[in-house]
Amino acid sequence: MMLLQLLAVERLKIRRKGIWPLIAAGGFGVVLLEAANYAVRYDYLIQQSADDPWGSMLHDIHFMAVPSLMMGLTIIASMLAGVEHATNSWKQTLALPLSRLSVYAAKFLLLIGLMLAACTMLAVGSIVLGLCLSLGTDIPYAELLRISYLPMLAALPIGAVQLWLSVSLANQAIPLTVGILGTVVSMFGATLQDYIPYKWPMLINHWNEPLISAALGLAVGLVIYLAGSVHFVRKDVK
Amino acid sequence: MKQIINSDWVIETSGLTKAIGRKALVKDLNLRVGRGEIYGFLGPNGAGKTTTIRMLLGLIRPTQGSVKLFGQELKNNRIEVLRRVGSLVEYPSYYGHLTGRENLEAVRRILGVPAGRIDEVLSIVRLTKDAGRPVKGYSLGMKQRLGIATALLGNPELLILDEPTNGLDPSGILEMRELIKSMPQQHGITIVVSSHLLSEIEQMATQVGIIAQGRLITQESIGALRGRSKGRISMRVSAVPQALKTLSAIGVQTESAAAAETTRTGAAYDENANRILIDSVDDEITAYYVRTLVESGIEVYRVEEERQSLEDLFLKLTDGEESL
Repeated sequence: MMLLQLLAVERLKIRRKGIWPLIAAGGFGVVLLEAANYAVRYDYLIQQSADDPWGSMLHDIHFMAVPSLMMGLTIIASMLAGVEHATNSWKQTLALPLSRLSVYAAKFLLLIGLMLAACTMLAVGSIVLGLCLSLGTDIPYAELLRISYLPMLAALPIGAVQLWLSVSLANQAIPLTVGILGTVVSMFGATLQDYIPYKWPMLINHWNEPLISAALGLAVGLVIYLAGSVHFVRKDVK
Repeated sequence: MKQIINSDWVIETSGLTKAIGRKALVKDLNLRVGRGEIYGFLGPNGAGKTTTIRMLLGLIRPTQGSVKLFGQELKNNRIEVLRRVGSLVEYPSYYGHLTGRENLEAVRRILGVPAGRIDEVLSIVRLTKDAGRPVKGYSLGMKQRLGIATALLGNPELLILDEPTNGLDPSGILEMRELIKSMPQQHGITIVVSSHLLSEIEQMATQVGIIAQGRLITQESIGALRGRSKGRISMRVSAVPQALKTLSAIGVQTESAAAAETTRTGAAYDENANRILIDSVDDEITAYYVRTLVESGIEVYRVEEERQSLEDLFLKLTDGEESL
């Protein structure tokens, strides 16, 4: 009950902050990028992917969605913490009769919720693009869901780290720098070792099983989230 | 320090200490705030007022000691206790991109008070007209008032205001003071208000706690504090020990100014070297003292009335700590 109230309050706090345009830019932006890709070299791409036109397009979209997802987590986490840092509202928020655990949980849930909205936009946008490109009506839904939502689960550790940094440090330059560097690293994810979380959103591992990347992300993400909330509960508020 | 035995303290801290590394920001504080009081928490900048208030609100953890609010340990009953407390710490916190009303709504939902309460607190601080504007466009005084409105939202029994008049113009200060003074009368609220300005506290507080260098120097009623600042007669004489002996022989309480200074501040100024201090009395008795001294062969060079303002007292109390 308290958590739902807090979620509503957190949503109120980011009103008019331009978060939804950002989410839409992330979700649909990737699809638009892919549309541009096809606009420039439609014949070539269609010819290249003649045996699996949908799979090929979804593969491209997934590849571009990873950096977008990483930047999204970085920026949104920073914004959610930033509204409190701006006038040091932490001291007002945390002097209210509520548990600090739930404050942190509300921020984390909102971060995930907003990113899931972007994932959904990505999924819907992908279908629309595929249909517009006349890739046929035989839409591979399993693959669509895989590239739309599993990267988010796999990137959960990154989200948890970004939120932790953004909440702990008043200077948002640090979490933003970490997030941007992480984005760059994740773009070369395929070449990284399997145990490095920045590889996971690409869903590539030597077992060839995307679900393993997602499961690892979910588990490690929750551990980092818990560590972050324990720190948040104990820390002194300036 | 006056210590009344009372189980009905709204705030009671025992040995409250906050240290960062080896440096103690607040040391061994024993605050006692009674119900319905306006407790003025006074001290120079950096004395530890805000640190103390943060501990009272559970924002930071004490290194040692404990905080009891309404007779309950803050540590174990934080949420329950904080429901009865409204606070404004240092400068006001707000979400600048939201309107005044939205700012209050964000807090109201957590407190779970009826929506109508927002209009009530807005009218108490006279912000009804500006409630629809984004707060970033407010003047500092309006932001401060919004902070007070936020603090009042949950119908608190205890209001903790840290430097609520900081940065306000004279009319804003007056308004804030009237608002604060009216609250215990109208709503039975207990208020703790901190300030580095004695004049502020003097005009509204019923109890005063003075803190310097992280230590509570004195805690008493404003009346008692005023009593301590009453005038004295200072005489410069040729020989202080003989003068003290002569006057105490006729039953007069007197002391050497240098000794008084030393016990209070740890050091004495040169100008106090040949002075003695006597509680203020009327002209004839003063003349009698002088005659007695002169007849005993002690020269009296100067007889002066020393009016010690509360400001002097405050400065002496706080500066003294620094030179220790």
